[in-house]
Order: sequence, then C-alpha cells, then structure tokens
Amino acid sequence: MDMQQQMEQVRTRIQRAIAHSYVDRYIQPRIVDEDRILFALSMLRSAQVDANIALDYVFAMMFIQLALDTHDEIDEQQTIQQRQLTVLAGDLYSGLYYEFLARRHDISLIRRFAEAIKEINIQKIRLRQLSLDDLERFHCIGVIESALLCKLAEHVHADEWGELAYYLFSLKRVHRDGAKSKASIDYIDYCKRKLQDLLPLHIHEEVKERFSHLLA
Amino acid sequence: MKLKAMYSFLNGDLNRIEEQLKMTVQTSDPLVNEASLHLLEAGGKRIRPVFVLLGGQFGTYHFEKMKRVAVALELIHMASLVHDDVIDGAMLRRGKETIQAKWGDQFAMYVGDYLFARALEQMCEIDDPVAHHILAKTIVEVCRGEIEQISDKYRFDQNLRRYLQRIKRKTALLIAASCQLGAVVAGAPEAVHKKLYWFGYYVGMSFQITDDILDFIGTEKQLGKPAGSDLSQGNVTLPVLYAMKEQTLKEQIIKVNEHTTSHEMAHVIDGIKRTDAIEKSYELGDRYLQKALHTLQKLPRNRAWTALYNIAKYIGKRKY
Repeated sequence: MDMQQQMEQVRTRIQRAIAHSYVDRYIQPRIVDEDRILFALSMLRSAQVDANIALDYVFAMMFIQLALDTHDEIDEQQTIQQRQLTVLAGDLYSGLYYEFLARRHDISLIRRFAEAIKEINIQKIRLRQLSLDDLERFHCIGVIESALLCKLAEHVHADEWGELAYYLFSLKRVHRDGAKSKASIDYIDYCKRKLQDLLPLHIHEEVKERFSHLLA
Repeated sequence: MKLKAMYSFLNGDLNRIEEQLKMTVQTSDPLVNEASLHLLEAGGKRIRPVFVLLGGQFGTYHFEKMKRVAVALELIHMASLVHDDVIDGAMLRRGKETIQAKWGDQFAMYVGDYLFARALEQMCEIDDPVAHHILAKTIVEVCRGEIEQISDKYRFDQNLRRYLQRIKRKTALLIAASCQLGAVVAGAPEAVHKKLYWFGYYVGMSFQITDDILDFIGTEKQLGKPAGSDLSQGNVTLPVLYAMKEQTLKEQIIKVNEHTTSHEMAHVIDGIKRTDAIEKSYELGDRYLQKALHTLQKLPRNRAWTALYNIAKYIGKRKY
C-alpha cells in the first residue's frame, strides 16, 4: 500500500468512527489534518514499523488531535447546543483513543499519548498568559503542535523525527496565524534554518514536497 | 449512621488518596495548579475511590495499586465536572465558583483535558489490559450518554427504556466500573468482579432515580437549585414519564420549553406531585436497590461487604 492509500485509509477510518448523526447536525465538520497523518506515516515507515501497526498508531494519534482541535473550537459565538456538543464530541474522541489502544493492550502508548495531552494543555494555558512579543510563546506553540508526534517518535525509537516535527509544525502554525510581530518573523526564519539542517537527514520526499510551500 | 462512618476502616487509605490527588495535579504552571487545587478543595464525597477500595477488599488488596485506580477514577470524574460546567454554563459548584466562571470556557476545557491526561497516566501504572478495557469502555459510554441527554432534551415522546439507558450511561456505569475495577486490580476472580459490577450498576440506577425524584420533592435549600430544575432544563426524568400517563397533565408537560416561566413551572411541578408518579418512581428505584442487595448476597462476607450493604441502604433512604 502506498502512502496515499494509507493516508486515505486513516482518514476514512476516522471519519467513519466519529460519524454521529446528531452531533454532525450541530457542529462544524471536523477537519482531519492530513499533514500530520503523512508525517506520522512517513516516520513510522522510516522506523520500519509494520504497516498495519503504523495505521493503528496514526489512527489513535489522530483521535487525540481531533479531540484537542475540537475543544479549541469552543467560543462564545456558538449557540448553547453547539457549545455543549463541541465539548462532548471532544471528550468522546479522547475516550475513543483510549478505548482503541486499550483494545490493542498498548498501555505504553496510552501512557505516552497521555503525557503529550498533559503537556499540550499545560502549554495552551501558558500561551494564554503570554504577550504577543514574548519569545516563550514559540516554545508553547512548538509543544502544542508537536507533542503527540514527538511521543510517537519516542515510542518507535525515532527521536530525531520529534525535533523535525517540533520545527515543522511550529512553522506551520506561526505561518497560519500570520506573522503578527517581528518576533514571529524572526521565529519563522529560525525554524526554516533549523529545518534546512534537519530535513536532509530524512529521506522521505513526500514530507519535503508536502511542506515545500512553508520552506520556500 | 452517617455515610462516612460506614467505611471508617478506609479512612487512612482515603487520606493517602487525597494526598495523591493533590500531588498528581501539581505541575510547573502556577495557574494550572491553582485551578486544579481549587477543584480539589471544593471537596466531594470521593465515592468512586471508596467503591474502588471496597471492591479491592474482595481480592488481594495492594494499596499502591488501589490508589492508582482510585485517583484515576476521581480525576476522570473531576475532568467531567469541569467540562459539564462549560456545558451547563454553571457559575457555582459546591458553593464555589466554577473553573469556567472564574477563568472562562476555553481555560476550563484545557483544565479538563489536563486532568483526563493525568488520570490516564495514573491508570497506566496498572499493567492489566482487562482493567484498561473496562475503564475505556466506560468513558466512551458515559460520553455517548451525555450526548444522548442533550439530544433527548424537551423530547417528551421518549419511553422508559430510553430513560433507563440514559441514566445507566450518565451515572450507573461509572459506579459499576469503580466497584469492578477495585476487584479486577486486586486479582479477584471474574465471577466476583462481575458481581461487583452489577452491584454498582444497580446502586447507580437507584441513586440516579432517587436524584430525579428529589429534584421534584426537595426544597431549594436542600437541592442548591430550584425544585423542578431538571424539567425546566428539558431533562425528561422518571417522575415526568409516569406523570405523563395522565392526559391532562401530559398536555401541560409537553408545552414546557426554554421560555416556560417559573410560575408556569410551579404549576406543572405541583401537578406532577399530585399524581402517583413520585411513588411509582420510588418503587422502581427500590427495585434496583433490591437487585443490588440481592447481588451482594452472592458475594463473600467481609467488612467491605457490610460497608457496601450499608451504603446501598443509605442511598435508598437518602432525602437529599
């Protein structure tokens, strides 16, 4: 199975698993971040993880990502019902990750992902307390965007991919949010330089191609 | 007899669990610590840890293992309370400001997710796939139950079965899992931990039915909210389902919506109380309680058995 087919399989499995006739009526369709799927699959392939196991790992990780992203959508503009279902949908996806890995008896990965969820939420809270020009923001963003991938990298003994994930997904986030300050512009440059050093170590063309617009 | 006196032999272990809860939620960020401690200090009965410890007495009781499960379950419960307060827009819980009232919705979401992660970390100290499977399945079912509760709001065409399924997911499953998990982790035989599951399930059903009755017959002071709040928020509970058997009253009940005034609600609540709905609800609650006690008869007798018996009886008789 090539990378595209694997990506499609993860996406389809997730969409099937989260489909809920009532919830779907009220909350925005959830977006499955294909960049993360590709990155994770590429990393797992590089670490020579069996293809079926890799699919399961990415499937579990993306449940958490969806849960976290869904909870980020809570805002005061939502109707009461939308807000209620946004909270519960996120909680449900968190539960599904745990249930899925518990069925696989993969306690070690449950623990690693739990550590990532903990770190991500601490950094999200920290980020809210920082001003736009505080350089610590970028560390918070780096952890928020990459902790799950870093923990997966640790799990398959591919730690070098964790560093790559940190800079790549920080860059993507800062880029997406728009460079609002000199500090952001400097940080984008810094990430690009780091990635120029790191990317040659990682041979997968799919990753380079996918993120080429950010690296230009 | 007061509830705490029924399991006073667990006091030492419960104090150590309280300490562990405080230690577990600590982190390097002062604001996260403040919010977590704010929640912990609001108190609560810690009934889930109690059930875990009692369940553990039916096997080989190792406190270190019991502690992990008890802390995990309490943190999961706390996380769900934080998120529930966002769902309900609640300003107060146990007389203290809620996390969302104090720091906002988004912050409350993060704290809830943080506590959930902490709970799983604790649980991962237990290397038992059966325990993880039970807990994970329970969490998913509880979430599905909460979604169901929202979709069933102001739906007066639902039947008794739907109500029972909803309260099972809302309340009974987590109590059942608490009783069962203690025994599983203590290595009790399957026949024993499954009976504890059913005991917890029946007690949980009885507890929720009583809660739903008290919502109508309790005073505002006892309940900490106006009587009939469940119905005014669209939650169709057992007394409502029974009361709707009277056609005239049914016609009034089905008109209840978000805009119903407190005066109109008082009239509906009076109507419900005048029927046999409360009595019939008590009867069903008592049937679940009897099932719990019957299940308990099949378990070996020890001091945990006596405590479970007394707790079940207490829950059946509670007035608020």
